[in-house]
Amino acid sequence: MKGKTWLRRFRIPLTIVSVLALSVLLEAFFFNRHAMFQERYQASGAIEQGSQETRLDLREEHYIKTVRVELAAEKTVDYRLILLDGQGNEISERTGSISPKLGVSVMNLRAEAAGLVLSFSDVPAAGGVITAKNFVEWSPYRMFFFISLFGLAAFLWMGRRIVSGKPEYAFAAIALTAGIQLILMTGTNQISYDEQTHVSKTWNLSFVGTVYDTEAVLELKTLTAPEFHNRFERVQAESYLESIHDYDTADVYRQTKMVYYDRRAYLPMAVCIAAARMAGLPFAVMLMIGKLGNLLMYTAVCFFAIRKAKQKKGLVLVIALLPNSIFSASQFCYDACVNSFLLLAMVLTVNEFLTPKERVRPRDMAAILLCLIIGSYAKPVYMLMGLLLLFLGNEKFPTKCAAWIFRGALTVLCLCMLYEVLGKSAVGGSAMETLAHAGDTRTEGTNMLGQIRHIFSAPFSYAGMLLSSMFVRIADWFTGKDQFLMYAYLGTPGTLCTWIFFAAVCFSALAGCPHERQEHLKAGNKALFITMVSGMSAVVWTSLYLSFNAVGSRVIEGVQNRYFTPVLFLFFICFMNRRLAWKRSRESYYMILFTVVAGLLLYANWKLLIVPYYL
Amino acid sequence: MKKWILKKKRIWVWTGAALAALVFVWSSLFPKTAYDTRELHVRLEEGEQEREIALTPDTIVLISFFSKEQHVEGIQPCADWGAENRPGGQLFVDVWCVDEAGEQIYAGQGSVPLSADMRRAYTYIPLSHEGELSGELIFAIRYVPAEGEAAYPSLIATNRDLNDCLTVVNEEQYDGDLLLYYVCMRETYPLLFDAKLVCLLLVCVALTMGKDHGKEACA
Repeated sequence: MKGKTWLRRFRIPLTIVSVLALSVLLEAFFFNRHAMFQERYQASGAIEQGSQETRLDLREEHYIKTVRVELAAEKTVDYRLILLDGQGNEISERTGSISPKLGVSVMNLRAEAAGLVLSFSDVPAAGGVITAKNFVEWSPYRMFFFISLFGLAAFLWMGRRIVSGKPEYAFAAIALTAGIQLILMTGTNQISYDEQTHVSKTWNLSFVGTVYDTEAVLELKTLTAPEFHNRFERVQAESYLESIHDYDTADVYRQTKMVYYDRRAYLPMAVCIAAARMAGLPFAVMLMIGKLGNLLMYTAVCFFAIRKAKQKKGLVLVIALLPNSIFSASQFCYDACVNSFLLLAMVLTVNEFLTPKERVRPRDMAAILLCLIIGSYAKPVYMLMGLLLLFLGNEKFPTKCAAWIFRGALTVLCLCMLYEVLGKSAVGGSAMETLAHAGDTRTEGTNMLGQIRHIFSAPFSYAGMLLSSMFVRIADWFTGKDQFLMYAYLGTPGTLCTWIFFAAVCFSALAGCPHERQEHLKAGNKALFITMVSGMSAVVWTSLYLSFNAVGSRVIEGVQNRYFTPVLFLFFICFMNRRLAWKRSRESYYMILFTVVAGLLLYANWKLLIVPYYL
Repeated sequence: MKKWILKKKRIWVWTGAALAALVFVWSSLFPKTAYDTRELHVRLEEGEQEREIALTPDTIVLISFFSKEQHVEGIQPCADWGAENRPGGQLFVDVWCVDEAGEQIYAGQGSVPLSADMRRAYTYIPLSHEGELSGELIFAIRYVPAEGEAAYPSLIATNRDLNDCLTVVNEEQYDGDLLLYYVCMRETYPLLFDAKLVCLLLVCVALTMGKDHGKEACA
């Protein structure tokens, strides 16, 4: 009894010590097991100037953890590394490249070999060194991953009673853990969609009036910054960028002091970058703090979305923890702003539909409209989701007349936002003139006006193509032809993860949580939501067909799965029902959800970041 | 005090909407919302050292930008020639505005040295003119090459990718781009956009407040 009390009193420090000890033990005895239990080994050889092939003879088979190739290259040099056995036969082959900006390439080999043959694509103009070694190497990134993994598990388990009553706290813990892992491990690598554009807009926005573009910033803006493949190269890449991040030789130019609406989604990142710059932090740290601003904004807004949900908090939590969204929130990207604010807007909107007899509170309406506007800054087309409010009953308003005037004002508000899609174009002039010049310059033959004419010349054939594209895409998510869960250029955690994620969404949507209020959506409202989801999806597909595809194209290309994230909640809330309810405790209901979504996120981080970069 | 504020909340919201509407109307009447839009193709022949680039009436948007009293701070021509083969020399830019009668009503100038260790070079020409400035905006661009520099830039102006910039791109002589663009500082456009959104938002919110709004809170 006394022992139990003592354990309870010191359970938090004991847990912290256990988490740290477990992580250290894993790092020492599992990830460094070859260096701990086998021989520690290092061998070096010189790379002769003008010699295309270099041989490193190790005499007998050794376990090689890393191979380091140093070469003062003037341009990027590709190389092949062939592993030989004791008889001189080829075991396997690896490829790599040396950036002239880094002058070194480090390869995580993790294999046994008796010899190495290094052959270059071009004859090297200068000499260098090749080093093969197996030493104990503490990886702070890998250790951070395990500390945060065990720490999160301990937090969720020990606080299960509290967080099942307030799941938004569990959401914040999971989102911040997975997001900070992503930020720390991606570093200065640009692995998100169009990241150079987002970095450029964020950096410019972090200045008022006069912008300073250092060489390091220009390399990020033009996607020419060196990419690292492991923590050894990371040190080189970061020190290279730091060396060229000099404000004395920066490009200096002026920009407007006003923050244009299409740039406002970058404000959290820009503010954090400005703060980090003023604090004089290193360049790589400054970038990570910029990304952290995005993650904090996403977490805060989704936190309130979960807290404010009158029903299906679990569903809101699972959708907010969609790996694609957490990834976007941890990179330079406006998706975090779009996804979080639209999720909050839709949660508040659904709350109103769940209570048809209660008058809408002005502050709730202000919050809904504000969230819709902020969420649509970067992609005005999503403002159309606000049209759902047109269908709120007259009972929600003080008078019937006020209800109708509200609907009129809301329609004008949505149209104003939508007009910006056309009005803001760089072409200017009339809307028709704008359309005539609009189109994504990355695809040849785009012309919005021409595409609209094409659609109207054969509307039924376009409708057929649109519907088939939508259904094929949904089918592809489940057959593995297309991956719903994606970490942009890092790849996908796998089709199985997509299935598990949708299973978790369906579970949270279908099964009622014990102790949750039991208001119900009317069938008419569900039909309305499904119509809105279908309509928004069609608008997304069509907008890509207009802007990204050549006139008359027979397929719709360029539609990314992340564009559908804002409608996920609206779609799955339609599955709520009174028949299915979780019979066991609320604790177990939420623990299933926490485990599945946190597991998916951390598995994705493990597979796509730790294994390729830090193992 | 709290009671009084709650009672008047509805009035505050309507007042806010009306003020936003006023800002919107004011911004609409005095717009500063032009986007320079057209493409301009200009080529300097080999050996040609000077060329006036006149923005003809076809580029009406540029001109209309200067048509009302405005808060344009200045123009900012820039030379950008990419990473490779950076030329030396100097870029001189004169800008002036003529009215319909062809009379010069404004002039400004700037210059920028081009050197091999710079990726871009900017010059800033402040526009301090106050009052109405309408007419044709004309640029004169003069490139003085560095000693021993044989090539002259071939200039193509485009602003398709840069919202409010006129871009002059080197097409043939250099590996990279030679850009020349100007940035006009438009200060009231976001105001126009925000004012109409704020106005509509407040109208929508006000419509959810009945005459009895606040009374229940006070009670």
